[in-house]
Formats: sequence, structure tokens, C-alpha cells
Amino acid sequence: MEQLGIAQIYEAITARNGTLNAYLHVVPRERLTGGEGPLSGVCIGVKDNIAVSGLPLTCGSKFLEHYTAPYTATVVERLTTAGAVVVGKLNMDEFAMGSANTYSAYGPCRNPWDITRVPGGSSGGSAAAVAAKMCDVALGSDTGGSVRQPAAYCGVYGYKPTYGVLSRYGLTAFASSLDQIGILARRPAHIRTVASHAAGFDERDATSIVAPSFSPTVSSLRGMRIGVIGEYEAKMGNAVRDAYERCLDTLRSGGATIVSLSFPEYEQVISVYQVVATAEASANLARFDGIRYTVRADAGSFRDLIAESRGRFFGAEVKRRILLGTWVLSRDYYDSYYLRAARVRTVIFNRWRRFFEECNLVLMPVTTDIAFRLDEVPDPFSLYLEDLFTIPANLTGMPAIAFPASVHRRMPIGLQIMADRGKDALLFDVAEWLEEHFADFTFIERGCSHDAV
Amino acid sequence: MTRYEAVVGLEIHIQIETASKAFCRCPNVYDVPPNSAICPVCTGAPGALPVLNEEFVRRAVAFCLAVGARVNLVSSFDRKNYFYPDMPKNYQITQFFTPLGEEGRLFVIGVDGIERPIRIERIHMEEDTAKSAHLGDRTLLNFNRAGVPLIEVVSHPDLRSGAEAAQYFKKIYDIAVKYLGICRGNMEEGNLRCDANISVRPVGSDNLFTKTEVKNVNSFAFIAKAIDYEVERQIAVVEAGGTVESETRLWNPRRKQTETMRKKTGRNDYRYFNEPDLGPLRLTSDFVEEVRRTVPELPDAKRRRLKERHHLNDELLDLFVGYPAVAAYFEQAAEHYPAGGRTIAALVAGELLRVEDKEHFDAVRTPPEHLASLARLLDGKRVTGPQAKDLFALMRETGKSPTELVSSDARFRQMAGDVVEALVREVVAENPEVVEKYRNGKESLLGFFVGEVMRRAKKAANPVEVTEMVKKELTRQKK
Repeated sequence: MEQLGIAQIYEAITARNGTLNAYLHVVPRERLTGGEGPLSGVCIGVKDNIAVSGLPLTCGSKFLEHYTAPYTATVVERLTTAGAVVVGKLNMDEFAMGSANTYSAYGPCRNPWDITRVPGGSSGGSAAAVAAKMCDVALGSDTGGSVRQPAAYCGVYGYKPTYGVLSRYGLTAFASSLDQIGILARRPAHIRTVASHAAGFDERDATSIVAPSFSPTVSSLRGMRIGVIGEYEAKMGNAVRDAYERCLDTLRSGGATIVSLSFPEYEQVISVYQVVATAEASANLARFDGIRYTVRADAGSFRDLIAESRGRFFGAEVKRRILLGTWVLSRDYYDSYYLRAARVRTVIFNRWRRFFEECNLVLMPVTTDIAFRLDEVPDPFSLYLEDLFTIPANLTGMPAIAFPASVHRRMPIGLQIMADRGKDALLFDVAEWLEEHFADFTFIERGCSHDAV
Repeated sequence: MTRYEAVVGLEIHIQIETASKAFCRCPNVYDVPPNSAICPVCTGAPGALPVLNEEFVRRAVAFCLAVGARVNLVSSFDRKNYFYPDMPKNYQITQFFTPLGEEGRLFVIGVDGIERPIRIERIHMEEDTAKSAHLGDRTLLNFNRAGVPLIEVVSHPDLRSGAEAAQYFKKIYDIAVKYLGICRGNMEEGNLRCDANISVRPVGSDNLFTKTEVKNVNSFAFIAKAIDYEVERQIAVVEAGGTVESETRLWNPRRKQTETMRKKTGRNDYRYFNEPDLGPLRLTSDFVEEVRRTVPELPDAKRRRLKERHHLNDELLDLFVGYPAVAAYFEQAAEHYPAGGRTIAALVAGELLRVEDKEHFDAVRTPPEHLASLARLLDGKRVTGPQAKDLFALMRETGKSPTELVSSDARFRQMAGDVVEALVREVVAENPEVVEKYRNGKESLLGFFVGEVMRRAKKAANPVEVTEMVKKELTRQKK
């Protein structure tokens, strides 16, 4: 696997991290421990909600300001065993809740293409670090689009695996049934290589699965059926629709057949996601109580201690979601919210299973537009609606990969393809084909020349 | 005047003895320094995930089968959410929506002497919490207990008295600790913990009245007392025109009363939902059948069978049902002498348990076939009771069989009948004044003659036979 080299990466970090705030913690260069193996020399940045023994694990939160991970996540352990080097821990929205990386307790991360704009979130640091060449590959986490959306905003590839392909052991849980560690890189082949070393059944994660083969399955698009969802067309901004249509043309010219699909529940995904994700989060984040994990508010009784600590050390967005999740699980509302959401989730899953009886892949937008400006971050509710295109992959546990598609007003636009469970290799095949055949591709190099901005 | 009856249900937590904890590989141990058997999983470190221990499932299934419960082939793991300092994750992994086992039952002998079934509503698997200790104004947490496998056994409110509750609790204890061997059974360490839900109602009513929960009645010594006290207290409240308040109470063993621990204000809302880190537990019927083959015969069945087969009295049946290892020994011995069950049982209870601890029974020094031979010698009147005692001791000392000892050791030579008769005549002739008193009505003096004969016979005579001979001699002389 081609790599930038440690020297160049540390130069980029020194030059740009002060501005971009992509890394919350950089491992001093003299302390890097490079291993031997197929990934020897590959520098990875790790989102700060994934445990690496001895390194901070802040999850972008004040609650874990002084916390050091006592063990290493399975995925990181496998990559370092294969020779990869962990360069540092990457900025993120607090506990992975957010779409702009503005909810980090350690300051926002900025988009390397234009530092007045957001990198997306919650894995904003991961996407920014890859785009700015501050690592070869980054690990992120994707609960509702948190890898793919920042990848699209920063002009890089972002892969959300089939649920269970990458062990969650060591990933601080946000919404356990939706969370997956994801991989971001400048080339799809890098993701394929890294995924093949990181994936596989992990006896420490009861939801992990025996990984499918990542070897190439097709070399051309002939005979391939690619689905498009009618309901999405009205939701795309002009620039995104333009890229989307040119991408369809390219796929068609490569020999693929385009299949129209209807997704009547396309808007319900947001409500279902908000209920399921916040419910699970309300339990997952309950352990942060001021009794362990280094910070504590002074208070008398333990109830006051918990309330004070949670009040002081959680950010507003995290509190908002915990409250919502607590509400939807409460006895009087469980049936009408949580249970109903779980049922609609099954309906959505069955819908997508049928889609993949009709086609091999679905081409979708990732966002409605280019990255927004830091001073124009929408209100929380509007931000939730931004997840419209990315949530289906999480609700269904199906894999998807975001890829750079176009540049508009000197900002990247990404699209994504989604496949049935276990068809991760097909996503890499088509992403690599598009890398070669889809127009306007060299912008990544241009993107990196924006360093001076 | 209205008569009241008690309505009592028990919730029993049983710590399951396994090599590792319920959801991680930490050793399931108690006698190690605080916080030395912990890991990211059982301390709830961010990112750590639970993985179910198969042996825990196996043992929980065995318990379900032992109490006749239906084992659900698909059961759920769920999160029970509440904040508590000793809860590492502030939720407990339990089985709420679909428990592992449902609809079991055990029998108790009611106050009326009639055997009644007590229905078990559910049996579910869960994890124990950490343990807190208070040191001045500080609270210290020991996570060694966090994640220790537990099953909770919830009965229907079918118990009607403290005595019934004590019987039921003892039965659960015997099954888990002595029959299945899935629990260490140390109450002081909290291996078995019992909470009682108690209410009273007018006899004949089907309504359930406000109940109180009495926590930690996990002692055979006071479970019945605590429940009976609470029942009386509630009846007194109702009869005085008051209403029973919903609250949690504790038994104070010093003052012998239950006392308010906390009032129950409002409803607890644990916001249960399926545990996404585990998914449902799916068992095959082959697995359940495999476990069933490891479940031994259980107390109720054992009592019935031993009673029919050997006609033992209740005291001996209690002994064997309460101590399965002793019962197993008894049955091995009885195989060598099938008609001698009662004699063998008497020897086990009267001799063997004088020297062997029934709690840790291990009678390697007394092979069951030797005890069977001894019973045969007794029943055949080849040795006397006192001789049997000596023989038993000698058996253990030498490891020789009683038949071998009897033929080789002079002490067990039995006197011929005419020799004994001669001794009887001798003793009667030598004590005319005692004979006189006896004839004047002091019949208790019979023992004097028997004792004197036995002494002269140096135990080599049968006391029952000697008694008969003495009576006959005294009667004969009278004529």
C-alpha cells in the first residue's frame, strides 16, 4: 500500500493542525512504534472515541478530559499487528453526536478545503486529517452517517461496513445497534487493504461476524444493475444533483443498467433513527456519572453528585439526546415511540432487502449541498434532517461507501453507493472503477493545494 | 371477625458458580484482594462489550429443568436502567421481556399438613453489581463481584406463612447448592439472597392488597420469623382501620422486627429495552436435552422413591433428601442388601454420621458393602447391637469387612443359648432380695438383671433375648 511516509505526515501536522484542529492528541514522533507487516509504515489517525491503550480517549467530551484508555480496540490492535502506526487521536463531535464537528468540547475542527467551513461530523477530525494528508488512513465511527458525511465534505472516501464486519470492541458506544467503525482514505484501494486486515470475527464482540472476502469480484460494470431512489431527487441541491446525474451517465456508459426504486418510508428514517439512537445512547452514556473516569462535581449525596457531574460535563447536544432517549423509553411512551420505531425499522430493512433483489447497488447522495460555513451551522433540528441519505445504511446494517464526485465553488461533493449486507467488496470494486472512469477526479490533489487558505 | 391470610412471594437471587464471570473472562472468585478480578468489561469501561458465558447458560438451564420450568429456546437480554454507585454501567444486563425459564413449581407441606405446589413465575439470568464498603465518610467500591452470574427465581404469591416460605427457600437452596452444585451456598457472602413480597387479605378474597417488600431475609434462622412478624404487623394495621403503606422494610434480627428502610414513592421506571450488544439468546432443543441428562434426581422425587422402596420414616427421609451425598451412599449400601434398607439407614444415621460430617460427606473409610454386611449380621442376630458398635469402629480402624472380623476376632463370638440361660439363672439365684422387690411390683428392676447378665456375658449376648430369658426365669420361679 502506497504511503506518505512519517516525515511528510508530521510536517503536515506541524504545519496545519494548529489551524485545522483535526488531532486532539498527536503521538510524539520519537515515540512512534512502527511494526513489521503488510501495513508497515502506514500511518493511521484514530477517532477519539476508539480506545488505544495509553492514549487519551476523550470522545470530544469534558467528561473524559483526563481519561486514558486502559486497553486497545480490536480493530486498532489488528492494524498495528499488521504493522500500521497510530499517529494520534482525532477530533469529533462529543460522543459522536453531531454533523459538523462543532459539538466538540475541544473546539471545532475545520475543513482543509476552506477553513471557514465545517469538515462535517461527527468524524470531522478523521476526514480533515485524511484530506490534509496528516495521515494515510483514518478510523472514524458511523452511527447515522458520521463517516460518510465528513468524507463527502472533505473530498475523501469514507466506508461504513456491513454491521459486524469491524469489531466494535473498544469503540465508545453511542447507539450500539447502529454503530460501526468506518475507514476514511484518499483512495478506495487503501480502504480495501486496511479493511481486510481490520475485519473478522472478534470473540470480544457478540455482534461481530465472520467477514466476507474483500477480494475484487467484478472488473467491469457490464450486467450490473444500479438502483436510484425517486424520492431523493427532490431533496438534492442543484450542485449535488448535477454530480449525481453525471455519475449515473458514467455508470450507464460503463455498461450498468439503472433501475428506478421507490422508498415511501424515506422520510421516516429520521424519526426512527432519532428514537432508536437516542434510546440506546441514554443507556450507553449512563456510565458517565462522576464516580469513575477522572472528573467529578462536588456534591453531597451520590444522587446530587451524579446530577451535578452530568449537568456540568456533558455538552448541550448530548444532554438533548439523552433526554430524548430517556423519554422514548419511559414506561408511558415506550410503546408509542420506541416499540413503534423498532417496528418501522423492520419495515425499512425489508424494503431494502427487496431493493437488492432488483439491483446490485443503490447510488445515493450523501448530503444536499457542500459543507456549510462555521458561522452558518444550522439549528440542531435542521441538522438532524441532514442525515436523510446516510441513515438507511445504519438502520439496515448494510454497507455503504462515500466517494468524491465533484467540486462546486471550490468545495468537494461526495456521493455514496450502498449494497446488501456482506457485499462490501462490490462497493470497493465500483468505487475503484469510478476512481478511474468518473470525471473531475484529480481535485484531491487540488484540494491539498489549498493549504494556504 | 374477619380472618386474614398471608400472601407471600419470594424473589431469590442465586450466584452461579462458574470459572469466569457472566459476560467477561474475569475469574468468578470472592477470596481475592479487592479489585483484582476486574477488566474493562465488568468495570464498564467505554467501548467494552459483554460476551455471554456458555457455562452460565448451561447451569441456569439446569436449574430451570430442576424446578420443572419451561425453558424458552429464545429468550431476551435486556437493559435495566437505573443509577447506583455500585452499577458499573448504570444499567444491569438482565432478562426482562422473555426470561430463560417460566412456569416451574416446587412442593411444600402447608400448615394443614397437606402438600401444595408453589408456582415459580420466572427464572432469569443477570449480572451482579459491584460491592460498596463505607469507610468513614468515604465509599469504596470493589468490582470483583461486578458481573458475577446470577439467576433470579421469582415465585408466584402462593406462600401462606413464614414456615412455608422457609421450606420453599430451603428447597431452592438444596437444589442449587446440594443437588446441582451450581452455587457455593454461603449465605454470609450473599451467594443466595432472598427478598419477600408480603401482603394480607381476608380469607376467601382474591384481591391483592398493598404489599411491602422485606429485603434480605436470606437466613434459614429468621426468614420465617421475619415473614410472620410482617404478616402480623399488617393484620394489626388493617384491623386498627389503617392501610398498609407500600414500602421496603428490613428485618432487624436484634429487635426481632421489620423496620422501614424506604417508602416507595411513585413507580420505578427502569426503561427496559433489548440489549443491543448481545441480541436474543437462542438455544437448540439438543442443548437443553444434553443439560437435562446432567440433572440428578431431585428432592421431591427422591423422597417419594426412598419411602416406597425402603419404608423409611420421615426423620430418615429428611436426612437423605437434605444430604444427597449421604443418600447416594445409603443406596449403594442397599444394593448389597436390598431387604435391609431400614437397618442400613439406621446404621448410617446412628453410626456413620457420628464420625462423618454430613455437610462434607466422604465415607471412603467405610465401604458401603461393609455397612451392608454389618446390617445383615445385625438382622440375622449374628451380632448384638453393642457388638455392632464395636464392629463398626473396628471396620474403620482395620479396613476389614465385618464378616471377616466376626470370624477372626474372639470378641464377636456369640455365646450359645444354653450358656446365656445358665448366666440368667445364676444372676437370679444370687439376688433373692431383688427378686423379692420385683415380685412386689417394682418391675423396673428387670433392667438390673438384664444388665448384670450382659456384663457377665461381656456383650456376647443379645439384650432382647436376655430380657425374654430373665422374664421367663422370674415367672418360672414364682410358680
